[in-house]
Amino acid sequence: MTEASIAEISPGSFLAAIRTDEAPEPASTPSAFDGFYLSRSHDGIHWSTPESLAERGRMPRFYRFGDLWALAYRLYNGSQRIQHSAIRFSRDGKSWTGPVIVEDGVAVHPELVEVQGRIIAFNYLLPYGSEIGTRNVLSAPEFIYEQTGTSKPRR
Amino acid sequence: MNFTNGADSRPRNLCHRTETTRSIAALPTVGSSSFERTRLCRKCAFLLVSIWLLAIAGESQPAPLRLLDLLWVWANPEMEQPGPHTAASFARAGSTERARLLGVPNIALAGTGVPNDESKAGSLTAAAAPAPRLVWETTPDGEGIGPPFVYTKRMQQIRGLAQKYPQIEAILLDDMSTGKIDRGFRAAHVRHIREQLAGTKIKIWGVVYTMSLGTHLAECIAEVDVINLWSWHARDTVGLERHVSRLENDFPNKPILLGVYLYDYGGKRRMPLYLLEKQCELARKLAHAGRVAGIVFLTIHDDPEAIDWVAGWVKRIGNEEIRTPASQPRVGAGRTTFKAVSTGFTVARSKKAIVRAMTAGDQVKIDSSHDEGQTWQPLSAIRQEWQQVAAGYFSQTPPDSLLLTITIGRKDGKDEARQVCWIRSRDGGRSWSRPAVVMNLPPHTHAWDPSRSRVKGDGLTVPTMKSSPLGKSVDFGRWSSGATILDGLGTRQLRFHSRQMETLE
Repeated sequence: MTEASIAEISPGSFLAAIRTDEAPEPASTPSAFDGFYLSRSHDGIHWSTPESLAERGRMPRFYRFGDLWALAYRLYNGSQRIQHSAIRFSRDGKSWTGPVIVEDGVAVHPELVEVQGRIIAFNYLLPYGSEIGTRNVLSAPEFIYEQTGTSKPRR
Repeated sequence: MNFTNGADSRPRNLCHRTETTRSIAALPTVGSSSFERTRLCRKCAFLLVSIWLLAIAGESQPAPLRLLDLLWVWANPEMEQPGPHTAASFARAGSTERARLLGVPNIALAGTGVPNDESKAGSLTAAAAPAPRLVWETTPDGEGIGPPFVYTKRMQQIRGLAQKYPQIEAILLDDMSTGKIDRGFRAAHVRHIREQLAGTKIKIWGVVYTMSLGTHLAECIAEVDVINLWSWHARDTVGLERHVSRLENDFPNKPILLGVYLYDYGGKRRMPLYLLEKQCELARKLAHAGRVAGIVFLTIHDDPEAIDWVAGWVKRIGNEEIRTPASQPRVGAGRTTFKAVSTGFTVARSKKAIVRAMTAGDQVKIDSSHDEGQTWQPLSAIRQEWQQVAAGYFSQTPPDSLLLTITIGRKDGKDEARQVCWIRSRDGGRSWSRPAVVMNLPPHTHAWDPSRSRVKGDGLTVPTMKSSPLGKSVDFGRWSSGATILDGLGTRQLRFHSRQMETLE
């Protein structure tokens, strides 16, 4: 397990998003080492058996916008040339939306900031060394707030 | 391009207006003799006027836009053979029959375009006239597809047809981004067409393939009214949303119509149904989000399975009302690019700006942006004498400060011991505290990120870190017990470091 990101979802309740090098598929599959898991803890020491997110993610990072959680990561599947920056959203850290694809052909996860009620994502495009970043605006995150039943962050 | 509901102009709405006119004419006949009667009648009149206003307000509202209103079929009059036809003979079906087989209302008369023969052009248009919206593909004057790209006579022909069939709302420039451009078609030719259409409401659609998106197209695309986007190769549909985003960014406010092939012409094979479904669902999502203004279905091959699938899909989703575009995420909108220097940039918001930190050589550069990340200005740099410094991540910190992790190591010691440190800025990133060591990394250890956490109450709650000691993955069994991943960096220690952070100056 590697590239873990841990957030305190509620007081004393922790959630970790982790990339793993365990092989969920036959090891002969080149992309078999990119599983993506969630694990939970109530003390930061003991952790639940990881639950697969059923997709391949790398470099997860949690963000908090108002009462909305965002999990930003690189949705990656080498064999299918999928290299998206993606975000999932959650109100409670338990149920998450499907991935919102922000950008294609990225080297890393998106970096997020919230400005004036909008979420702005910054990405770094492949190939490495291209020095090209992109900025995407989630111009109507109301959709996300509706989906997750959360209220908008304060402006 | 008017992409509002075509039902607005239908006769039934005109009938409503006639009824309303009758109501207005009836109003002055209400009584007028005594003062009381006048007051009473004024009240009645006021009431009636109010009712009428409410009524007219209700009547004048257009019917809600449905997905069906945005669906088109690509017709090939030159392939038409006498019918009736079924899904198994779709390619030979006439325009209205193709529309019927798919269950879509609008028709793009394409193929070889408007025939030179006026009577034939008229009869083909008449055959398609039941469609509420029509588009005619056009080729240059005379025979052939150009050059020369002179459209004077052709546009006269179109103007004449549109006078008789006002549902003709646009002309279509097929293969604009490929064959036409290759043969010398340029933006000036689009302007020439527009001049010929002056005084009409006829718009210009340009067919653009995802495979040919590039700067050489920009001028032509800028001149057309509507981008009709197609993925020639089915394999390219994977990046379709990205292509839409790119067009949104490069040509803001220009409507995009998505073309959906029912056959993989690039791959010369049947369109896999899962890809067909994926395209349709993406198109549906983008239409609901207000990001595409229509969907055009095209095949000149008989594949009853694909035809039936699309027809079933149209039946299922056709009556969906287009949801308020503002309620959907529009990730592609406002997409811009910028120079990033290195992959390791991290972004945070300070009080007045967005700040980013990036590794640049042996230092960490800090930039700021006051236009929500569209442009960046240098703000400060973090250097350590004889040391190499790399940026880690910003933490989500209280609004009065920025908290950043950096890794410090010897300049020549890539695999030597390094230190992960916190630094803090209280002035929006202009000046930074001295580094406070959070953890020491042994040689050959790849770990640098304990910062993705929050400062809360008396301290930092839980860290995040990357860890791959000696290049091997961490054993989950050990990790799950907390022994490995928190080794030397337990919660208690982090709380200590968090308090230490509060005092960093």
